Amino acid sequence: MGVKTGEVLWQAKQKCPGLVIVPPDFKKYLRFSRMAREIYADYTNQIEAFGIDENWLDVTGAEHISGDGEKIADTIRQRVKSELGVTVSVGVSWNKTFAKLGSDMKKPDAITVISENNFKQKVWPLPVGDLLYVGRATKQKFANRAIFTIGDLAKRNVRDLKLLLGVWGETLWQFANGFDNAPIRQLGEESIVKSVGNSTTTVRDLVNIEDVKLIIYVLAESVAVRLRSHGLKCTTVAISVRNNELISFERQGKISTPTFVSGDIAAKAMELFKANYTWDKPIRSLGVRGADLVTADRHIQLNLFKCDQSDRESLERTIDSLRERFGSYCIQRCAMMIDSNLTGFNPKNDHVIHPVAFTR
Amino acid sequence: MKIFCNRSQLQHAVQTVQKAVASKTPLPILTGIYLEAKNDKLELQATDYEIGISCTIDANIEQPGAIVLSGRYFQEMVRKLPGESIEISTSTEERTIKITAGNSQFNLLSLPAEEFPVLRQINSENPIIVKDYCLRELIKKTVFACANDEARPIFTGGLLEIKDQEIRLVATNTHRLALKKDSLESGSDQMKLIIPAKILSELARLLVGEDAQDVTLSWQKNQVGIAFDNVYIISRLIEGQFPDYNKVIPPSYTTTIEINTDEFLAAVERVSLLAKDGEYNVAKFNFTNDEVIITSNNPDVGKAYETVNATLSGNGLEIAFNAKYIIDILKNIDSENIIFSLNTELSPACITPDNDSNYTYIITPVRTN
Repeated sequence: MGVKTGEVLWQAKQKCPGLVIVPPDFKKYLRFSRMAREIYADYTNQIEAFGIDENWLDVTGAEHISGDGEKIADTIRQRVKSELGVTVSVGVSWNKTFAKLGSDMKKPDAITVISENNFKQKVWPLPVGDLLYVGRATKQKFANRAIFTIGDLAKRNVRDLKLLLGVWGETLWQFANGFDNAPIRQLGEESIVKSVGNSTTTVRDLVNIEDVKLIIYVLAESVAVRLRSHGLKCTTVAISVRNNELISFERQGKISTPTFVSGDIAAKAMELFKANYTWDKPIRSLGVRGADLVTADRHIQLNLFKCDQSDRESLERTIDSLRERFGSYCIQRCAMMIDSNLTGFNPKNDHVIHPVAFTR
Repeated sequence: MKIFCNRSQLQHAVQTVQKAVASKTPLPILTGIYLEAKNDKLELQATDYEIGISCTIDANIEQPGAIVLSGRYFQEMVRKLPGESIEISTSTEERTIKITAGNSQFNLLSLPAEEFPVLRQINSENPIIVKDYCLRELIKKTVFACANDEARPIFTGGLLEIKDQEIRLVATNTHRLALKKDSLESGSDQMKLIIPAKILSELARLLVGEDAQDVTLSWQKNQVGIAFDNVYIISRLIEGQFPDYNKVIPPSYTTTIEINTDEFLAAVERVSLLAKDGEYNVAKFNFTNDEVIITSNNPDVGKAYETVNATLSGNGLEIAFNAKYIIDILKNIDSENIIFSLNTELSPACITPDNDSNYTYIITPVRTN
């Protein structure tokens, strides 16, 4: 019917009048995702999450217990279906890129095996946009150079691709040829944090600066909490903005002293937003990120014109412990009460997507 | 245009205006030096729209006119030309300019003079007149304290304040603040200007005349004009509200220490060699009854320890500072001894020369964990 991911409901209904709309239940989603992971853990300890509902499993070495990759994939598929009542699609391959690609090829409740013998027939005819990390911009660049399928990409001279996309060109070429050898992380292994960010697609489009301010404060609070829990401060704040036509951009700026205080992060984010958005379209989604992280326990050069930050820092720490004991809504900024529909989400608990560390 | 002028005078004029020649600009005309000849005077001008400098010298003018020459080539050429007299003449049909000195002759392509944004002098009703040595001292003793990062533009300039026959220049990067005062001979209206540090430094460089002379400052809206000798500088001002610096100067201190300036400077410089820790040069100062113990500790490199004799009145104190901020001020103090005044290990401290109550330097400590 032409209904796409990210489309608003009324548009989807216009395209498909009989559309059945099921309200989302994010908590349930997360719970099932966790339960599925428990099943995966019966087969390997190398489980790496990709977003909230996808995982890579490295089952090398488990063949003599549970059978080969295809066998394990089928067992998992059946177990998830019978134990959780949901269907999964599995891609089986010798590298992460093709495994992900395979999982998307046949849906739902299916298994696709991409082996070193058949990948040229199975993978190469696919449009290049299906390859992991080939987004809209890269796809356009490829199209300009007559690269339309993954096979086109694989057969190109790697040096030309390097000229086109830099280091990334070589990486994508390796992916297309199945040379991706990135390991799958061990369960519980966390990568070094490089930046801390939260983003959200809002329940309704944001139409003015007041709306934006609310969301930025919610996101900044979550970023600040997470910075504190890692014992870090950020020296750069970045925002990402996506309008209702799904066009997005990111802007970033430095702050004068490293901080994990939500007010400082939100103020910088607002400054960046005001300087960069012209309100030609309403906003669908916003993100706030703290980067250039430094440890929080370093020396602090005091400021002549600002009072000592330590009071504000301990205030935020106090709020953290209050929330830990009495729940995240026990203490809120007043502004959050203005439109609790809009701000009634908790990015820290609900929306933390452990990022994809693909190239480490 | 056809003129004759003295080479060393011309060289001086070119050097004076050269700092205003734009190097990176989308407007090619701003990379040039403007020369205008009339009434036995040759005026040179350059501007990058941030700062504009004009310098006028005597010349023997046969035919008046105005031209613009490539700043870079003209400046290098004038420096190397032989002889004492230089002839500059234009040939309109070729759009080139002929420069002759001794046996050498150059033909430089000219830029379109009508495109050059000729500086307009500012005429304010009550200009301030200040002696050049006084202004130079104000600038040299404060400008180093300005901020470098453009994120806070207001602190990339110095605040020039005039009030009740007193002239003050204040500079700060929010972690340290330098304030220098002087008295004016003639009274003036109150005023506050924030002048970019770059322009202040440039002004201090140009104010080196041997004889004392008057500097006239006039301003309007967001521009200030500075006139002295044969030079006129026009600069943009930084707009915004400079925070109230009086508030950050502590009214009283519980501890004061007198230390020999040179000994203290040398010791801090040595100790700071091992003080690099991240972006701060943190050195600890332990003020006791008869000495200051200065230490630094860098786990990756090693430790430093040094003592300097001092006379303390009040309570002893241990406090950490960014050593660079201490070195900066000590280098600018000419008196034999300094007075270091403190309150607590987390409140701003003050350093002043023992013989000059018009010079104040406030520094914030570093909170160590």
